[in-house]
Amino acid sequence: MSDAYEVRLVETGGTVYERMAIGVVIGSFVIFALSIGALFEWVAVDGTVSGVSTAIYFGGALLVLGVATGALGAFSRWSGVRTTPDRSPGLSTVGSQAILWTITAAFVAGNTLGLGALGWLVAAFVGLLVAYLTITAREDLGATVPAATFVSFVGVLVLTGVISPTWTWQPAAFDAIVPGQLAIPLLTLVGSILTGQSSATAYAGFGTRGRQNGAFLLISLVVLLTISVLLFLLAFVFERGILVVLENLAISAGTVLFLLAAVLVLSVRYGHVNPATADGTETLVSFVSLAAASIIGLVGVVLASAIATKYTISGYAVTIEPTAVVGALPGLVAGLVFLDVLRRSGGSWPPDMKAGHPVIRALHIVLGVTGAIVLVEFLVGTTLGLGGIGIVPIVAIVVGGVSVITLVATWGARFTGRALPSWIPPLTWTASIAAVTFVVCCLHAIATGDSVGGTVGIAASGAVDWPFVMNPSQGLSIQKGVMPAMVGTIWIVLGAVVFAVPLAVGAAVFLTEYAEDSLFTRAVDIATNGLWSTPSIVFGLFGLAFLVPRFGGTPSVFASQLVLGFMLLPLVLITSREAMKSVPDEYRDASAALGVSKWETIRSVVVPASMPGVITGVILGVGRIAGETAPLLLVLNGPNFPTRSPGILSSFMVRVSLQPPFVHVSNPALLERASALPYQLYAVITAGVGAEESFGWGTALVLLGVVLAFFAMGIASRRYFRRKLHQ
Amino acid sequence: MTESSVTTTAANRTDSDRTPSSDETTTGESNERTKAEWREHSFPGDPVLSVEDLNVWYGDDHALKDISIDIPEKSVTALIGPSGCGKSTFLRCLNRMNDRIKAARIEGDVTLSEQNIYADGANLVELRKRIGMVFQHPNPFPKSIRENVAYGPRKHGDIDRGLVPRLLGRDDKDREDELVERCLRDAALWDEVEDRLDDNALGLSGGQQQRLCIARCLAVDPEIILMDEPASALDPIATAKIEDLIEDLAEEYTVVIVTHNMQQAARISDQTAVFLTGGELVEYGDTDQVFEDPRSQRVEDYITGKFG
Repeated sequence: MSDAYEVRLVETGGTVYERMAIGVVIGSFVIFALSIGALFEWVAVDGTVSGVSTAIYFGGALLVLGVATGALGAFSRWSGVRTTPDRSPGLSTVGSQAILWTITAAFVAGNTLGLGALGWLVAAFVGLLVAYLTITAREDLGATVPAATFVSFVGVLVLTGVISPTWTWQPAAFDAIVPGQLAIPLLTLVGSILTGQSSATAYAGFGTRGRQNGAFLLISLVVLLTISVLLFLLAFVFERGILVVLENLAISAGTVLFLLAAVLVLSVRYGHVNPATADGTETLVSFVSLAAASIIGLVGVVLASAIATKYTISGYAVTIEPTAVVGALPGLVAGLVFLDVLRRSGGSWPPDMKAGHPVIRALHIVLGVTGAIVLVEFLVGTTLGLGGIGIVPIVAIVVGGVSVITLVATWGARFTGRALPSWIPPLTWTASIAAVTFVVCCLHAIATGDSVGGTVGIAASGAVDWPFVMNPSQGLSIQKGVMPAMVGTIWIVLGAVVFAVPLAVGAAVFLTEYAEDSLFTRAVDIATNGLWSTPSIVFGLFGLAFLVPRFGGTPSVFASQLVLGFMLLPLVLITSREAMKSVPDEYRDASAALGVSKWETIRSVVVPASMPGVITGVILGVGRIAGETAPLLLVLNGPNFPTRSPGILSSFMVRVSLQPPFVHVSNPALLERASALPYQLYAVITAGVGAEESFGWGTALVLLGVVLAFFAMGIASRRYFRRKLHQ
Repeated sequence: MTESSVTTTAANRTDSDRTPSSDETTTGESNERTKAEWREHSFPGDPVLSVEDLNVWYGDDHALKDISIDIPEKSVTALIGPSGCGKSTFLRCLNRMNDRIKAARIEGDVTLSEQNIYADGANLVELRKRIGMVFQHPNPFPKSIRENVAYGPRKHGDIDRGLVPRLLGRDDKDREDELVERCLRDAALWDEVEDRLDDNALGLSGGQQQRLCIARCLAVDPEIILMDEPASALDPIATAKIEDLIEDLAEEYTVVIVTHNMQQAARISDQTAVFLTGGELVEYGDTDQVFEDPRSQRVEDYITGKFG
């Protein structure tokens, strides 16, 4: 009779042993997080906490964790705690413990005892001994005691100051110095992973369940490490760059209010869930967004009172001017957010207004005409008006008037309890129309450079003054600015995407849908993969030698767009092809059985179904090409600190002539040298002026922001297509 | 006679050289005999589709051998037989879906309203509009229910939707709504999806998805609907719904259905064709007659479960 029947099927938990194990797991997690913090110098190892060196705390924690882990193994072995250990801890545990102890022994023997070559003998002996002891022990001892001993040993070393922040290790074999400041966090990191895994294994009583638990903990710690490296990188750049980027930023309170209002509306929208049906995540999201909403509300009140009392808020070189004007570009963003939220939450057209309310109808028509006028204004560049008075402001006043009347009438009717006059349109519809008008006015201001309104209204310029982002740099130490480089980067990336994506998708369609699986397609696949791993400087050299002489003879924006497009091409092709391969054949059969041609099927079933995959490729590729410096040195090669942005849109020239090809389209700006963010960053850093390092960090932060913005657009559009496919 | 040949085959397994040939000759004889018999048989209604000496090869594999059959109008014709007997291949020959398989070679005539669909210059678009198909696994597109039903007519230009038609003032929204409702009603799905036509079709249950596929097929207004084991991936309740639907459809359409399930064939079909291993059509006739008094011994063995 085996003792299998003594293992209960249902463990209700809560024994002292389990509580102790879970305590060690939590402790390991905390120490792990702290050691990461210490590695990134957020936690100062050489500092003191209440008069005691931080290193002492690390040592003490390691000792406690080590002893507790050992105790768990001992309890399991001798105190009759119900556990299910195997007879041996298994080869992987044995191997890792042996390696750990061999290295430790080699270190102690070679460094501390100074045994020289004899040290390796000692190390090998210790390693074999540990391996033997571990493999012969029952799992509960083998999986805990060697690791626990190691962690306790390190803990004692740190606690007694043998390894202190000022201690250094200079191995004779190679030219590296490991200071205690680095050694202590690293050892703590290793120690917390060891005790965490052992105690997690012990918590579930060893055996299969225990090892599953331990592996799970190990994986979560590794994930935590990965995420923290990423966050550290972002935070590091942000910390160094943010003050440079924000230097002398002046923004009108009205603009800030509008942007805050957009965030407020979004938070309220996402925070608005039914508490009866919300699950945990929804409740959390709701809580966070409503908290954000209340904070934004408070800030809004402060800003409003600042406008009222003409009080200028400033700090960290940022100034908020007490004016109520709204910048056209931020206003446009906020207006689009309002429109989107209104569209999603707006009610449908009331059934009793079948033919459409005359007021709303009229406003629709007026807005349609105004929109067309603004489009013309974009082309002409000046305000269109009647007798010196612009059309857009008049429309704005009319719509504003109707909105105010509707608001007052609706609320008045609500408070007094009277019926609403029949010609008053529903509030949500008026709100939508007001939001559209606002967007149109912002576009008008951007197109013509004329403000709408006076002290309260939409300002075409002056509402936001952001020197670092909005100005060109005048060379080192004169003025810091990234505008031309930023515009250059955006144009180059957009051009590359426009050039590469249709080609790549077309090639993927051909290879997946038309070409049969053959030597040819396999050769293309291999060639594509090879192209993707070709060094970027080679692409640059190709561009310089082949493209530049053919397009204007000088390095140019256009050549850069093509070169980066070539680099983007293989990745988008690979991902599109995979996505199209994974579209089930059943869709193609179903479409063919309806008599739909192959091309129509590809267009309306295969390509839409593979859109998320295509966009994934674009996202990954844009991240790479936006930061590409090497090819741009060759094919863009503009001034390090250009004084003006490449005006691609405004320099399109169309000439009509009587000779073929009758229409000449040219764009000189596209064929000129320019700058890009990574290119300018490289120039700033290699200029060798120490004081300009902060300029470099600022540029890096803007570059990061541009890449993240592209990234966000990609994620949003992928989400859009996924929802279309699955909802 | 056929039974004895089967037992002989089993007994002489080691003698692999002669047995297949002897088997072939016997089955060939029975095939000739039954073919002559069912040719005499007259069905109610006119034949809408007639197949003459159809042979199909997949590479070197002779998958269908000399199939000749007339399918009468506005009725349900069931094709039954063991796995691999070629009944699905036969079905896919009727709307030339086998053209999509590169290795397939097809010989013979399939006549639809006096035109051979395998003639040069056959219009596949028109053919597949007139002969629709429903597959074994429900395969709605990852689009909304409305778009699924309207897919065929939209792609054939019978219904114009989108920005350009709207700007030109000839948006067919009303006609489309009407069509979608009619097809979904005909497919007995309307009541279940009436209020969520713009939801994704992949959110429907398996049975609903299959009825949606039938609705999608009806939307191009076919004369004949081919169904390839349409209920084999569904649970009994969904299967019962599909079977009811097929019987209703047979009032207006000609349905040809492949099924593994002999009870299903007996329940819903008017004629039954029995294919047996080797790609032969062994018996074809009224369902009652085929199931109660089959002419061929092999068919009787198959139907009673002794073989197959």
